[in-house]
Amino acid sequence: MTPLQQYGLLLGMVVATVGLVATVYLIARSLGKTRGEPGKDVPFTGGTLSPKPAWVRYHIHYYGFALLFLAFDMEMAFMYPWAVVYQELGLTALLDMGVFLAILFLGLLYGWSQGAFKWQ
Amino acid sequence: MTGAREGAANWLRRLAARALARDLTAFVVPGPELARAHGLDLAAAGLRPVATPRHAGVLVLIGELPAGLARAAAVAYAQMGRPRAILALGAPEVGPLPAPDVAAALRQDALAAGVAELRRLVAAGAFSLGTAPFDVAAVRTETRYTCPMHPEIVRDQPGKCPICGMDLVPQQEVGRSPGHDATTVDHGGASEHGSGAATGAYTCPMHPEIVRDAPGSCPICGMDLVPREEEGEAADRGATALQHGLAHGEGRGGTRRTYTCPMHPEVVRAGPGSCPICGMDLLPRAEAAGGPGSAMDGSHAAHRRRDAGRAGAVHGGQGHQGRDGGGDHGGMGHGARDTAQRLRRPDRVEGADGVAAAAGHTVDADHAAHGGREYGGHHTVPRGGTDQNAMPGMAHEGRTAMPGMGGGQEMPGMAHGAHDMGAMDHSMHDMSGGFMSMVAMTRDLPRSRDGLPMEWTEAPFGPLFPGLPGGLDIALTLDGDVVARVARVPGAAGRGLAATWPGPAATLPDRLASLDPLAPFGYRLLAWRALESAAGTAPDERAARARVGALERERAASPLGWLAGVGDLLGYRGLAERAAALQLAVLRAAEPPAAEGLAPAIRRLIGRVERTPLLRR
Repeated sequence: MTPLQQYGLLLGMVVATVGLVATVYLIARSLGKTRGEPGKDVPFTGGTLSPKPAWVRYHIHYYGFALLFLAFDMEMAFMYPWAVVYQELGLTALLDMGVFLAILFLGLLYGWSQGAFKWQ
Repeated sequence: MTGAREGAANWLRRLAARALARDLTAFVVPGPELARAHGLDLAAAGLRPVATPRHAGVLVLIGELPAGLARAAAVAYAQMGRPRAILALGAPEVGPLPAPDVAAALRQDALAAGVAELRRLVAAGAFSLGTAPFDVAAVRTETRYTCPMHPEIVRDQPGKCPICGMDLVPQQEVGRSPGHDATTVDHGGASEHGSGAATGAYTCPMHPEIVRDAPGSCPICGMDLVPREEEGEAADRGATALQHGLAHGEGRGGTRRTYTCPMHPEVVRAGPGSCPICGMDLLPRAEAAGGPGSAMDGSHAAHRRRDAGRAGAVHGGQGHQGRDGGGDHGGMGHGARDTAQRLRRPDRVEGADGVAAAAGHTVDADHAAHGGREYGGHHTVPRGGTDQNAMPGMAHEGRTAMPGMGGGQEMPGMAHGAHDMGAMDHSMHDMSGGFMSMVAMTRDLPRSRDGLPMEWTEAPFGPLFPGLPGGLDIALTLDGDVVARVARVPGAAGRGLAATWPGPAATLPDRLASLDPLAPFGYRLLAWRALESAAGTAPDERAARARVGALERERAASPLGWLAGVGDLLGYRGLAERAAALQLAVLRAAEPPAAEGLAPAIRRLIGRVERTPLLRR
């Protein structure tokens, strides 16, 4: 199987995954509107409403910096050798780097949504 | 259906509704074991019991519910997804819940008819337009606003903090009436509150629990009793007040003696005994609470008192208590205080002390006592900054107590306890302080035993517990993954059985039977016998035999019910189903031949349990 065929397979899997998720959302939507009622968004603790979220105590947050480090630093480390062989590999090289950057970009978007780029 | 899902019926929704009606999942209040004790077979009627209301489509109420459980049932109903329905079995009053969709008697045939009716209702009315919201006081959380820096500021409206001018942040509180006035279990000396300092002037240096009015010798070790210091005595009351004083915010200095486990410092008791976790003997310790200055002498007194009898290594711990009792937390580093202590007390065995002091710090589980002081206004530790070094003594944490250290070393740093429990409310909102900033998020938080800054989380739990048909309402204080404190919320659950019984004599059997809903017949029989002997009548022989039979069936069925509960708990579905089926069969076997026929099945179950790994003898 050539690299381009592999990428065709990957594209098919992405489309199938997005399609499945979209179908599930569509079914959920077509089964009526959800109501935001009091008590529904609180975890069940045996019949009382816990006033605080239960996961509040876990503070493992270094991953935010790890994402940014990958997106801005490691990315460069891979792009230099990639640029050297780009002419040789052509479209495959472009797709390779495109997928890699797309994954890193998701991390970037997440960090952005968490306020990682706000000047402090 | 009152709990219908919003939306007009179309072909897809009708299909979904029919599918839902075929597979009804039930959340049972107070619990499925009570249904079985009443001889109800939910599975045979077509209801599948589930463990959480999130997975349930039907709320099943068994029997009359006390007010606390009715409120819990309302919360559980609010947490169910729509479409949802209520099936009330023998429950005339359902409290804050909407009127039941189907009501039936506590009998198997009535249950089956009720479930059939429920299926029709769900298939026809699972979707409808203009459904009514379920919004009662029992399930509403009210939002109040507090200052991230000054948790004592609580307002009903958003705005600015009057002290520092910061924006107030929301803090949620559950709007239920008996709610948060929990009484903590470890309220050691509640009864000593305000009882005079005059009593018990002499104590044994080795056994501080020995307190006498007159000099003499210790009944345990025979040593001469030594006078107790008055200041420590007076301070005792201060500390007792502090233990209660979290909310009152009163802080005075002093020491009081509590007992704690050398391995589990979170275990604090008023008297000697053994640790509920590891079974070791509890050791006395002075619980320090300090106004600057004044308490120093008191805690030194405690130190002296113990100097008489203890080995040098113990001093490290005790010395710490003394220092802690000194209460001068203001910004001074722990090391500096160590030095000060050394200068002040040249007679101490320093080598052992130093080591013990460094290694022996533990988190004191009873933060509340310290916290009271913090609220009391003696707080001099800088707490505003983001610098974690602002907390003195933090470098010492993270080690477990060494057995034989005399127990009860306390970390000055942990004195932040109560302040931080207040701080906890706003720590979620502090996250805006910086991108994933650990410093911002863990600022001012207490440190747990492993040295990590932790949230102290208040987690209410109950009243619905498997196997407790009367309910139990407890409030947990979680220190990370560890339960640091357990408090019972009084009055929220329970059936109020202690109340006087005003009814006519004929209602006595029912009243007594409700004492133990899981095995009611024994009490019912007791009441019958009492009434008969009072009236001077006697049952005829057949009735008497039938009663004995019913009593014996209940005796056999009750452990089968517990076994089914164990099976549920272990996730051993086969055991749970077999035991439940046998329990119902035993309860229904009214005639002797039917009961005899069950013997092989019960023997097979016993054999099976004995072959099960971890359950075998």
